[in-house]
Amino acid sequence: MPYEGPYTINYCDYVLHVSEAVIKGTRVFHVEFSINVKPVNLVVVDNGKGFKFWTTIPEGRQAIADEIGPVIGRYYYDKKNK
Amino acid sequence: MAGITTTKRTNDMCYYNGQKVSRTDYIRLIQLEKAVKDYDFLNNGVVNGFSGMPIAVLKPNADKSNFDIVQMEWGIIAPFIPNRQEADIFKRKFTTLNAKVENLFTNEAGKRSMWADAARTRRCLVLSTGFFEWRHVYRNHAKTGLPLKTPDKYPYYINVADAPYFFMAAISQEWTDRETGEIAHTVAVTTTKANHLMEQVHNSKMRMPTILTDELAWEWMMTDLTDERITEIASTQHPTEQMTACTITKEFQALLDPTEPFEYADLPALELNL
Repeated sequence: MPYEGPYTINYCDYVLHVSEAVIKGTRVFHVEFSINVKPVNLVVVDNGKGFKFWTTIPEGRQAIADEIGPVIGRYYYDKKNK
Repeated sequence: MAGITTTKRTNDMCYYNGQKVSRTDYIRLIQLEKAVKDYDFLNNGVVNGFSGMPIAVLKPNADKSNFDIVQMEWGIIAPFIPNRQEADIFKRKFTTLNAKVENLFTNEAGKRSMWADAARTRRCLVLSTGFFEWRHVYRNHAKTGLPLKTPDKYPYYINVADAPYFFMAAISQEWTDRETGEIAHTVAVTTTKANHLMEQVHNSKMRMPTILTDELAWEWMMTDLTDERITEIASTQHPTEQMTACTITKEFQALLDPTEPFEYADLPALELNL
């Protein structure tokens, strides 16, 4: 089911192309990069104690989730507070 | 009691990507993996070959009675490459996005080509709505009048006139990461000598993708062919008069519609008279 996007976010010296979808009830962010980085799917997960963090689907690229997830979060924060 | 508590917590908690998550979330994430893998992210304006994003490919089913539309990774990875890190190095070093028709069976050194098996047994088609190439224009030095060594580069969007999509001849290779077990279906587009239009647009390499008519596309993908016929089809030059090319902004990869025409005042027009 389509959710929002695609939209672009300028980050450092490159561009993130973000497409969203709600898949199996979870909001999934598909991110492509304008540089030589493989696209990544990001989701927000609760660790069971109320702490939320970004992670990748499938596993294996947590570092990129830690970096890019908050950029998307910031995009929505800025959009909401415009 | 503490030991029991610890055991219970361990049973309730799982790790995903090295992060603690509840068992419920863990199951949800595992289920999501397959759903996300199958989700159609094909509706993209532009595919950067170096980004690793999947592209739409038609490949024959097992008995070649029909074909499936699947996603593949652009840029073939040779089977002997052991892991993803080495695969990325391999793809950068050998630029396996494209396979030259002249080298499908024999490489530049005159030896058996790395593409040969794929060309004989794993021919497929890349589905495209258009592609991008850079035209190099060498301005003259203001004082000496000699051409500058570094060209100005202008991007073009090229497509087949009046065709919402078209087929590019391609070959595929399944690759397994021996460290993670990941299986990647990789693909390379075959290229041929540039036609009159592409000689001007892609004037640095003088190449173009092999664009096939519906009939040739079917023959390429679905029938058994000799090496000679494979080479013949892969050498097909789509006619200039059936193609269109327009300049686009140099920042096209950042646009939602990267195909939007953009005119450069200082750029000489293409010579399209045949």
